[in-house]
Order: sequence, then structure tokens, then C-alpha cells
Amino acid sequence: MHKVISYLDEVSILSHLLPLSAICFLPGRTLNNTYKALALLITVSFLSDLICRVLRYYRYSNLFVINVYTLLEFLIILLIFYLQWNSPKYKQRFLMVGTSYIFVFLLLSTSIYGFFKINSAASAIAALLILGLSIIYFFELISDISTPSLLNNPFFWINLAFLIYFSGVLFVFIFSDIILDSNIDKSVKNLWKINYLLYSASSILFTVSIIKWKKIKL
Amino acid sequence: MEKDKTIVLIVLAGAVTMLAIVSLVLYLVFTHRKRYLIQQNELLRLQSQREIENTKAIINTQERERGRIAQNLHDTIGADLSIVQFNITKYIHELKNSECNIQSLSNDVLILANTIESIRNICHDLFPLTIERQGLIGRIKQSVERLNESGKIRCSFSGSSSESSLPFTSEDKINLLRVYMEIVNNIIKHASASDLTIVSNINTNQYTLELSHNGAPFSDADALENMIKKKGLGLSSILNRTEIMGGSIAYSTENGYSKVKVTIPYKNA
Repeated sequence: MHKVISYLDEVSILSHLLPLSAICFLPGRTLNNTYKALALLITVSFLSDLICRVLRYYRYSNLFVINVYTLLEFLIILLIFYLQWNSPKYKQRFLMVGTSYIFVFLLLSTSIYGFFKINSAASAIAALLILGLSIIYFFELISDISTPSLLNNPFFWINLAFLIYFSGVLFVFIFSDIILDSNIDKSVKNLWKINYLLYSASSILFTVSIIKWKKIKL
Repeated sequence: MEKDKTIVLIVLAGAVTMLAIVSLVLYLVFTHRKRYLIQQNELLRLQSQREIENTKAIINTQERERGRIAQNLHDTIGADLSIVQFNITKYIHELKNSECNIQSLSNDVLILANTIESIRNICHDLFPLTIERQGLIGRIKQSVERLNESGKIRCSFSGSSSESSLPFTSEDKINLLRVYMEIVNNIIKHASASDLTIVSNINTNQYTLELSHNGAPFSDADALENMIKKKGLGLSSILNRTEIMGGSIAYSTENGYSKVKVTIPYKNA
């Protein structure tokens, strides 16, 4: 078990390949804009994880990359929800949330944390906002009778992935400035593995969603 | 060291709590959605059932109206035209023998005149356009005259209501006239009455139309039984039209006289 936990980092990186392979190689329907945005999110996440890994190997700080990824991840997920709702009346609200988040992120980075320290507040705010969007989407699904079974709705699985991932890592993000501190005890450092574990689970759920979208029966 | 343990504990407890909350949200979404879908299906079922009932009612009404037209045409115009056809055939034969019976031709012209009158009456009966001109009271009075002329029943009309005092729209008046005609039709057809008294009254907040006759007794229970057994389409039509106007209908029998009372409430402007 201990060995498995020690390899979670690698498992998490490799798990990106699962949905990316489904996008590239599975036959079926072509991707819509929501799924194109999801593909972008997975690619950005994959590249960021790879860069972080390389930087860590050469003993450079990778916190700047994590910070940039936090910002990009939030904006891409916001875009995914916007494209999924596909309603002009939400455009203004999404733009407002996106702009406000960028402003808050930059403010926190410049005034409190700096760009080369982990911005735990920005990560926690992003997680909370995405959790809110996921819950709203789920409660909107209650009155949607166009798909009799929720499990057959492809976006249900993406939303579920966001919900599970961000609820599980919320407390990890809140304490991320402590957890990723180089002088901290290894038992605390290991908490970051929750992030890897839940991201791997999300990758599986993304893959299910892509397969559902491409109408391939499991 | 103690601080590190606390952080680990908080993060793990937080993660577990958050995942538990997510599970609860998912449970709520699934159960609410299930309930919502059941409610929607039930609504759709009721809606479709109501549509079917409405369609049936429309079809029944159409069929009944068609039947009535066919019966009226057969009993009145059909018979009269057969006589005219027979007579004209006879005259052709007589003309061939150079004999022309002027009196017979005059009789046929009279029959034709009666036939035209019958068509007019049928049309009036089917579509009471004249209600705008004659009014509801006028149409009831005209119907009383015709009933008396027919000799089948002795009929009288009285009441405090004048046409101008009726606070009803043309649509309501047509509905009331239909109700009245259906009741009279039932009294003649099923009750075999020889005497009919019609009273039309209006007071501050309601209009009443009472029809008393000496025919077969009929009560609210009889009306209900007939409607349940789906015998009385006319009774359903009377009830539906009365309910559309927010009114009620009561059947009763007292001292050998049966009474049908239609009550339509209204609000004073």
C-alpha cells in the first residue's frame, strides 16, 4: 500500500493519458465546444504536471507553474460551464466571475503570497467557486426531463469529477502553503497525495464522460 | 510535531466531510429528480386523460348534433319532399292526359312552404343566431308558443325577468338556451308530460329558470344514476353548460309535479 501511495504522483500524470486517448482515438461523434475546452483543460494539466515534475527533478521551485496552472484551470473550467449552459444571459455573469477571480488572484499574488509561493487562498477560492457551479448544475439537472437517466448525460460525469475533486482537495488547497513548504514534516507533505489520488479519479470520470459523448456503450 | 499532526487531522477530516457532503448532494439530486420525474409523468398522464375526455365529449356532441340533424331532416323535410315528388309524378301523368289539377298543385306549394319553414326551424334550433335579436326571454317565449301550437303539451311562461335585466353575455345566453332546450326535450321525450310551466326569475345576485311538469318524476339521484351509467348525454351536457356559467341544477318531485331548477349566480357590477 505504501508503495502504491509513493507512486501516486506518476499515476496521476499517467491518468491524463486516459481521457486524452479517448478523445484522440475513440471513434464516434466529434467533440463539441464543451469537450474541446475539457480537452484543453486536460492538456494544460498534463503539461503543467510534467513541467512541475521536471523542475522538481532538477531541484528548481515549481510553485510558479502551480500558481499559473491554478489560474488557467479555473478559467478553463469556467469556460466549460459557460459553454455547457450555452445561454447568453449567463455570459455577463461568467465574465464578471472570471474577471473578478483574475483580479483577486493577482491581488493575492502581489500583496500577500508573491508569484513564487503557493497561493493557497486563490486555490481555495477557485475550488469553492467551482463547487458552487457544480452544485447549481446538479440542481438544474433535477428539472431536466430531456434525459430520463442522469447517468446517460455525458456532462453529468464531468460535473461529478469536478465535484468530487474540488470537494476532496478543498482543505488540501486551504493548507497548501503549509503542505508544500519544503521544511515541513513528510507526514504533512504526503497530504498533497490526496490531490493526485482525486485527480486520477477525475481522469477516469472524464473518460467515462467522453465515452458517453461518443456514444460508445461501456 | 503536534502542529503537523493537527494539520494532517484537519485536512483529512475536511476532505472526508466534504466528500460526505458531496454524497449527500448526489443523493438529494437523485431522489428529488426521481420524485420530479414521477410528478411530471403523472401530470402528463392526467393531461392526456383530460384531453381524451375532452375529445370524447366533442365527438359525442358532434355525433348527437349530426343525429339530430339527420332525424329532423328525415322526419320533416324527407317526408314532405317524398309527397311532393309523388304528386309531381302524378301531375306529369295527368298533364300527359291534358288534365291539370290546380288545387293539387296549390297543395304542393303549401307543402313546399311548410318544408321551407321546417328548414328554418331546424336551422334556428341548431344555431341560435337570433338570440342577439330576440334575446333569451324572446326565444323561450317563441318556444312556448310553438309547443302550444304543436298540441303535444300545454305550456305557460311567467317570470320577473326582462331581457334587459339579464346580466349575461351572448355566449352565456346561448348556453342557457341550450340548457332550456335540452330540459324541454327531455320532458317531452322521456317524461311524457302534458302540462309544463316555465318560470324565469331574476333577483339581486342570481337568475333562476324553473320548469315544472306533470310527467314522470325525476330526482337528483335519477340524474346522477343516468350520468354514471352514461345513459344521459343530454343530462351531462346540461350539467356541463350550467357549471361553465358557475351555476347549479336541481331535480325534484313534489305533489305529483316534477321540477327542474337552474340557478345561475352573478355579481352585481
